[in-house]
Amino acid sequence: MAYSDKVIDHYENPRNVGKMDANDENVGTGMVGAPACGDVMRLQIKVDDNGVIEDAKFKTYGCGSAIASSSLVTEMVKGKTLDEAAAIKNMEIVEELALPPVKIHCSVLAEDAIAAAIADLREKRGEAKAESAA
Amino acid sequence: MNTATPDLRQNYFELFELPVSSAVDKKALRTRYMALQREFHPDKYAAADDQHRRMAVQIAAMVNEAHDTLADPLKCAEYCLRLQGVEIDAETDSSMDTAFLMEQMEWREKLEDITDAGSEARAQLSDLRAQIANSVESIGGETAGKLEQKDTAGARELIRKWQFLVKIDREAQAVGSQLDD
Repeated sequence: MAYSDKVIDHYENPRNVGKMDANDENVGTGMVGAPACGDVMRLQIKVDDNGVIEDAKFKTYGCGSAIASSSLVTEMVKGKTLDEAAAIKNMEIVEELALPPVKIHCSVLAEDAIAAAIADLREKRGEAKAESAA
Repeated sequence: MNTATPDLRQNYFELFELPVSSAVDKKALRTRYMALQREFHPDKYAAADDQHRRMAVQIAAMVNEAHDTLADPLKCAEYCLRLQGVEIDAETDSSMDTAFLMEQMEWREKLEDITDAGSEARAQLSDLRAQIANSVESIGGETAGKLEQKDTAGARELIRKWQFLVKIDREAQAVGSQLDD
């Protein structure tokens, strides 16, 4: 199966690979996995005092599409509020990367990872809902 | 067709005349596999009419599929769970025990380092592979227990973890053959 140019670009030059301090109270960590392919994805976000995501990092062990999906999502969330980031849907990733149907689950994984990171951060800050930065 | 024609709707255990269990008797599986292969080999039906020939091909395919499933411990456990009415949703459900995923992440990081570690690589790799093998063995045993108790939720969780272990084991094997080159 051929990967799209965008997938190859993110795969060869992944953006924002790395790790942040999971104990930092401004950092939310999402860990998800896909048993079907054994992929493991860690996605972290860091918010500023206004609740806006100022940085995002990921590490993914998986196929090219999984790496590209998580790389793309770290770019997408920067500058967004938690609510805005939580609204990201996997189909946006599918369209941007032109993922074929058999790779859609990779984009789902990325969506789940960002949701898990947001949930972790909200729990850590004792918030039921994030304050929206209007 | 003769009376020995297996029913295509029967489950794999019935086809192989084995008790439903993830602990398959390998020897009995092998013996019955060879008997079924002989019995339904398409060559034997070369002179038969279309309907019987098609039937033999279908049965031969089912026999192979059944054998591959029952001979592979993970596939077999997954199949046992399906017989209890539960799917593992490997593609659609990404929620996993965080501690388990962190360990998987750690192992993959280790494996990544081994690739360019040089002289100590072999020892590190065999350590990691022993660790994986231990986990596979204990998870296999635990899964058999849960399936026995019809604890489908417990078995499902374990089988989902097992899939990650099989995957990293395959990758560790690949790293091993790279070191051998």
